[in-house]
Amino acid sequence: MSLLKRQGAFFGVAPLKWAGLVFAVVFAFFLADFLFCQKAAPVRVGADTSGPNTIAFLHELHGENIGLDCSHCHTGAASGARAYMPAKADCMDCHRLPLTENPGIEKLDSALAAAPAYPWAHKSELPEHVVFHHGVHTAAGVQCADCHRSAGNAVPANAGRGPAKKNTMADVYGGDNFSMQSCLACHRGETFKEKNFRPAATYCAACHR
Amino acid sequence: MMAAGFALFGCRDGLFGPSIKGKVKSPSLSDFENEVRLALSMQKSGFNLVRVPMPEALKTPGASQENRFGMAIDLDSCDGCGKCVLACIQENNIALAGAERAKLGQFMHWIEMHGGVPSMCFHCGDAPCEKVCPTGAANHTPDGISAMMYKRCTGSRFCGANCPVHARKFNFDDPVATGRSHKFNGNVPVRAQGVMEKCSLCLQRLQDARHDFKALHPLESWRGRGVTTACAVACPKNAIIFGNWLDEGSPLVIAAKNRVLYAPREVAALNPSIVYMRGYR
Amino acid sequence: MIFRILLYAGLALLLPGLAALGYSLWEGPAAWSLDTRTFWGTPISLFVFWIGLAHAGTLISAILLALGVPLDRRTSMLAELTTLCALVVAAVFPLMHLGVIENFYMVVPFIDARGNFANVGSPLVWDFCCIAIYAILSLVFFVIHLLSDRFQALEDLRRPMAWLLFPLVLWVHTIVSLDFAVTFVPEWRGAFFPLYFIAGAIYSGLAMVNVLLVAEGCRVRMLEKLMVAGSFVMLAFWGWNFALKGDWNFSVFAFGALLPQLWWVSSFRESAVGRLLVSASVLFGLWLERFYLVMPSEPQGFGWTDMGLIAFSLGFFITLLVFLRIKLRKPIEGDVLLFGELDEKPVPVVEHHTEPLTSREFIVLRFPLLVGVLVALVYTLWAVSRPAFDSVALGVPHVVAMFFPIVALVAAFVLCIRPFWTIVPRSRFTVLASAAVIVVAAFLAGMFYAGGSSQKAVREAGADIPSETIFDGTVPDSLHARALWNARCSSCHGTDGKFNEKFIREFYPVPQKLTAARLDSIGEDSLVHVILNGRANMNPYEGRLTEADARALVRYMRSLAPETNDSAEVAP
Repeated sequence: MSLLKRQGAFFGVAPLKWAGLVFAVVFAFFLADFLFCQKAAPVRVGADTSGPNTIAFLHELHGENIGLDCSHCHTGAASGARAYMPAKADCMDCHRLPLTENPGIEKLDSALAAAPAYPWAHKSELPEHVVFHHGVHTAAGVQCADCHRSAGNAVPANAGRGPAKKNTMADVYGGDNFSMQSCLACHRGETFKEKNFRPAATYCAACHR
Repeated sequence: MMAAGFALFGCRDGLFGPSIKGKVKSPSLSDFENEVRLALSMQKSGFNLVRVPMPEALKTPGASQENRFGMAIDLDSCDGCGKCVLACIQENNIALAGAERAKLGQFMHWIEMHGGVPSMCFHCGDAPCEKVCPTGAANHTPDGISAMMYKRCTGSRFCGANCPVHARKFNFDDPVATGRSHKFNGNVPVRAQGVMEKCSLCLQRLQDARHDFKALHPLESWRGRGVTTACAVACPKNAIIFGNWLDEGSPLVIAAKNRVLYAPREVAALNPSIVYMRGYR
Repeated sequence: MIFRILLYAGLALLLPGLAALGYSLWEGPAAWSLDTRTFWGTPISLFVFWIGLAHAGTLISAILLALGVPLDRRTSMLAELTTLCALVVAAVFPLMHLGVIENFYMVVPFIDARGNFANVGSPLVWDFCCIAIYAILSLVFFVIHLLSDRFQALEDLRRPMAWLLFPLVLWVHTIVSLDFAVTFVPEWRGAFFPLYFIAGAIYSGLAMVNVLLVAEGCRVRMLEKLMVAGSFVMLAFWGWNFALKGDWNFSVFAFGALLPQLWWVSSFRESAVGRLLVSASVLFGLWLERFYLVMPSEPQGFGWTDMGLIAFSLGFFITLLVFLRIKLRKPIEGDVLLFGELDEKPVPVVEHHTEPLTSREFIVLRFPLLVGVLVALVYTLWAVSRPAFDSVALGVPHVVAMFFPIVALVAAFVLCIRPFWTIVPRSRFTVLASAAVIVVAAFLAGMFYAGGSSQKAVREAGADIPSETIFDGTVPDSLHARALWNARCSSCHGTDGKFNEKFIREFYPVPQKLTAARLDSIGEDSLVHVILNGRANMNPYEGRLTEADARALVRYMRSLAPETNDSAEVAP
């Protein structure tokens, strides 16, 4: 049987068209994944920053550059299951005194004085059947930034990852997208290999209920 | 066609709305107590028991050599009062069976009395249910629990068909929408319609204890000391003892050391983790 | 004419059947007769019955072709059409009987976005793959047959395809039987189950084809004789079942083995109605047999929904079959209209004896089979190596069940590429259409990859008030105390116990020096009091740290303290 043979053609179709088909196939596959997958992105709610007398909280002022650990404010992260948003008392630990000579400091201090005991609400998107314990991960040596990538925080320019990026959204830390795949990849040792974590549990009942 | 199938088949609730609209009354504790009494009065006859050796570590790849959780039920102490059944219901948010099924003696209780003796899933080391589950929802943890992952269950009921002691329960109806469920325990999810459920050896308690331990002592190995199941706590005669078969200091091993251990004939060869005790060696 | 009657009959059964199906989907497994002991009911018995018919159709067509037994084109096309329609009907039931239908994609042993994998040791997973592959190949076989009188290339393809389909049918129906035989249910024990199911399938398939031949107005004596022979084979199996387990069902025996013997009576045999009755009795008997097999202990009640589902399956099958038969009248009947009996005088066999492995079919199939075996090997090894099976005793023997279907699928694909390529006109339309089909297939694969969406948490957005700490009076150890110190205290006091240079002085006053001498002079209890109740520039931690936490912090702080009295910054 003779097949059509044009110059450099496969089965009578130009190589470019084959490449186009392959591209369309791969694209369709991942498009379906994108449309139908479900990832959990934690959303921070509350602490209305829209009024004229409110001041937005900025992670980049409070992080590495003043030597503040994440769990100073997110107090559960060190050993508890949930990390919690800070209570007013946690802010007042430092802000009991005016911390700078900036003109805005009075506005900040009066806003803090007027704030409720728990100024932030947190709406987690973690499904009910998932059990995640921050403390276990902290104890195992996982850094906060490993999962909550510091997009809001100022990553020093010499970190070799390019200039520090500022998150233009309402300072949602990291803007992370968690999926079961990303958790499993680390638990199975496929990512974060350089950190030499101890082998983690990979059976279903370790994290699911 | 597939997409239409997803949309059409996929939402029993979504497309046509939930079957009961508005506030559904939640049953009270006394409803559950009455049902337990009814179940006790309709209980089936006891199992044929055969002797089994003390359980050892699992033989599966990756099995823990330190932890194998299980229970021993002391037949010499148990008087068939049924308090374990009620405790299990409250710990695990088990739903009422509904009037029709209750009349036929078909309950959702994870612990059932057979001839005055409580029986539940025996957490077989060689579980026939886990072998046939198509999605892997029925699986075994390295530390000996036959776990049931409700979100991975597609409701094929193959596992239930293959359990030799019929320990598995199927949610024919939505427990919440039909007003048969009360969320006693916030730590345990209420199962949706269409999934299988069974004794989980209080997996939620084990998980919480393990997490708390690992958060404080990451370098030590967790042996499950100090954890116990709801049924074991509730038994007034201390006839149910939970523990770790591989831990010499576990109350389970201490209690079972000098006793003769039995299991139902149907599961004896399947390496059960839950055994009966009777008499002394 | 007869077709119109059949079509109306089919629709009359289908429409109420659809209502029953809709109700079953809406209500879930509570709708049909099931209980806490009998988990599989009418839908599964219908599934097994119709799958048996589907297998038989191809078996009759492909086996007779492969073995060189002459069968006229119309009969074999009817058999293949039966296969396709029965497959469509059968495929509905494993889907609708699921408790959570939207999770059906989890049964597919394919890559998954979450890192899960189906349990490839489960017969249901084998079932899904095998039946899907069987459906595809039956469709291809039918289409080849449909077009074969116009293209010689396709006619040459039929026997090699038959040789692929012949073992595939046996394999797939074996797997269906294994759904039952691997379990602990006493009534389902038996290593003979594969043979039993295959015999039952062939028997019911022959009966179905005979029924359809009556509708067509002709008969094929060979198939009738095979059917009666089948009744004896089934009788043997039922006898064996009785001897082994004591299971005996009179109505199954009556309809399946006893009544069909009426065929020996010539008045029954020669009349169309008589033949119809005999074949229908076989079908009914075998359906009853499947019913009693799947539900060995009678569940609470056989109700309207069950009957509705049965009506649905029958109505759907008849409607689909008759519809396709009418639409495809020309290709099936061809230019020669056949009425009455087919001439079955044995034609002298033209083929000479061929050495094994030199026959034309084998030479044609060699390369496709090789490719198929390689692909199947790769898949098998890949599936078993999935990390989801790290803690499960699952090995290659568990995946062997899917081996041959994959071989058959890939081999058929490789085999058919060339003939189809030469036949299909190379118009723009066909090129675009085939590209579109491939892209849609990839999209569907992506949907299976993504899986269903997770339900978000039901937790309301609310203030995050920390619950009790996990310490209940026992003092936490130093590892934890260090973590707590680094979290809460180091912002001022520094991780080393001196002070945090980035914050202190520029923003905050310098704290007290925490030297050993000073700490010892104050004493542990007072230091705990300081932590809980605050001091000059330090807020109280009461309510945010337990006393045990505070005590652990004090001890850790003491361990950080330098022994010597260095002169460093003096507190203001």
